[in-house]
Amino acid sequence: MTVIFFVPRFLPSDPVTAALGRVMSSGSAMRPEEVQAMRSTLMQLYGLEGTLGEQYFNFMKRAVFGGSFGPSLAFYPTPVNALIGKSLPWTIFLLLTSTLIAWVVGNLIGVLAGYQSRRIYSKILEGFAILLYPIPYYILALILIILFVYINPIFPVSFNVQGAPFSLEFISSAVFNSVLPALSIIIGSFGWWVLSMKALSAGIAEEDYVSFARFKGVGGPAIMGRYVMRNAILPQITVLALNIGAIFNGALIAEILFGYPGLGTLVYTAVVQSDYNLLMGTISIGIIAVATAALAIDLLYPFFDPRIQYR
Amino acid sequence: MLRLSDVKAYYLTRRAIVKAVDGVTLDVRGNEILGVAGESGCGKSTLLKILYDSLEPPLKLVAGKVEAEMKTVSGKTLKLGPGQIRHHWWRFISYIPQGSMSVLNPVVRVEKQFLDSISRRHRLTNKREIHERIANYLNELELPIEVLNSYPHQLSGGMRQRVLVALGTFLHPQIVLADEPTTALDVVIQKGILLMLAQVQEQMKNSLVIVSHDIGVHYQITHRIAIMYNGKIVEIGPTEMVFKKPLHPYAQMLIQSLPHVGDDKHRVGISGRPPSLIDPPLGCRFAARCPFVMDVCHKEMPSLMEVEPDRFVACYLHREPLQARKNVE
Repeated sequence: MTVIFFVPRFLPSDPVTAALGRVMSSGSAMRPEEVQAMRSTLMQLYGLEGTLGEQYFNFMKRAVFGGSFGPSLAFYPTPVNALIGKSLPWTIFLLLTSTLIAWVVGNLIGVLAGYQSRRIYSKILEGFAILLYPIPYYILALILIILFVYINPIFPVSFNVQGAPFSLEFISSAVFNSVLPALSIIIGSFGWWVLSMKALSAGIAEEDYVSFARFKGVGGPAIMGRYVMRNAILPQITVLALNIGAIFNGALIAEILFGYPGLGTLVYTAVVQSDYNLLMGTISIGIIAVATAALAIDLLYPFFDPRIQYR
Repeated sequence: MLRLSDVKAYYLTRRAIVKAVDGVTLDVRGNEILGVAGESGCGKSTLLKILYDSLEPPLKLVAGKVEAEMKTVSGKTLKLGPGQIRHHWWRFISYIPQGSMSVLNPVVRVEKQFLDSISRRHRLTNKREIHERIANYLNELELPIEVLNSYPHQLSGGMRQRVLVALGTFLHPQIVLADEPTTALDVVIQKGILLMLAQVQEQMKNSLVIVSHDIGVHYQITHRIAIMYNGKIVEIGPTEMVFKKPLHPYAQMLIQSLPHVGDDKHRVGISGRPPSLIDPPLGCRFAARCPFVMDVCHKEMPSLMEVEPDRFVACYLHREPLQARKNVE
């Protein structure tokens, strides 16, 4: 939390100057005294008076004990908490679905490629994953945009949801608008799952219990599911949990490229406008979420791996 | 029951051909405990793979015949060859691995792993009934029923091995292959496992093949013993006779290595190492280490010959076949 507080303050820009810049550029001419007066008013409003130590103390008091990050500076006077509350559901909706889909699909293909590595189809699937994996995410996203927005306009350019909240129309248009960003995230991350799962299950396939299962005459699919996958999936569950925690950081590039109203866009706005409070709020959420996910996976692990028990 | 005649099985790899089993003739008879002894890397495990019909590349059967006779439920005899035996795994022939290795899936309960091997073959579809039968069988073998509900890591090494014995014998197969069933267990548990194996064999009147490098194991429970050296069987005969008077020099040295109670003499190992399985010598494989080596030993491999009733040995020191001697008399 301390780091979150201090790092933004070392930014070369500050929110007051930014806000003043906005006012100036809107065309109204001001005399220097007026500018000075406005600056001090803004400082007061944004809670930026006093020494850094005092600010820090105020911030900690508010954030840690009150759970509030104060007003946003860029969208004054909307509270940071309200902004996050508005963006968070979008981000969770997008990233949770796409992470889970990528995880399931990637691991299934990975097991297949690892356990039946000699089969043609597993080689093709693996080659596909190796091909996709090194593509930088923004290139991938841009290719998708070019393909499905310009050349073949199936999906809208920017995020545009219609209808009253939670009506059928609203939900279907939200899903429709999210297809492209979700697809880009799935394609971008599933290569990693395939490759890591392949390595894991190729290792497990050499284990004695797998060859013994074969000696027992257990069928191929059962060996793959109950023997190879059941064991190889354990480390993948840990990574999945951490990835789900990281959802709360938002998907910066994806959200900006697709104009998606999630946390990533919020973080971007906060950085560009040097919105200290908003920045601290969004980053804190991310950190808390990852830490919580790590704790949750520690507590849930005994359900997946019977060898681990807490007494 | 199961007969190998002049079987050669090689590991065909790109770099070399490893002649792990090179001309082995062996028959597994009904109602016996057959021991296969020999040092590490002599082809014991490969032999077991041939018997169990689980040859996977790069291991390939290049010559010889594998014949099995399976008694079906209706009392008929079914002749099986390589590639067919595996369809009758667990009912006709089963396999007990070395349990100290991780042969049980660490994240699945023991009972489920039991069912994996049984339910597909056994026409019992009623889960309750299968459970009852497994529980009864464990009871017979004096194993606590709680093991079924345990994960492998919760069992001791000895207990795991017992579970594996129970697993391998549950369907009353006609042949049970045990691969180093006591290795890596302490001697007290070893004895328990061996007694258990012998007891099960006695009850079922089936064939038990035990592969072990521990010559003491063979002494304790086997009826016949086959001694392997470098991909070949050098001597085979009734255990008692072989131990009393081993004929092949290798067998002699192997058996001399057994300590006796009250005997504190220093034991000498066999000097030298076995030849490579990739490029074995032309003559007898043991010639280089044999104290009785003759010229002929380097020229041609001696074949396995019956020199006494039911005793076969492959050595030029014992070249007078039983038949010839009988004629002289």
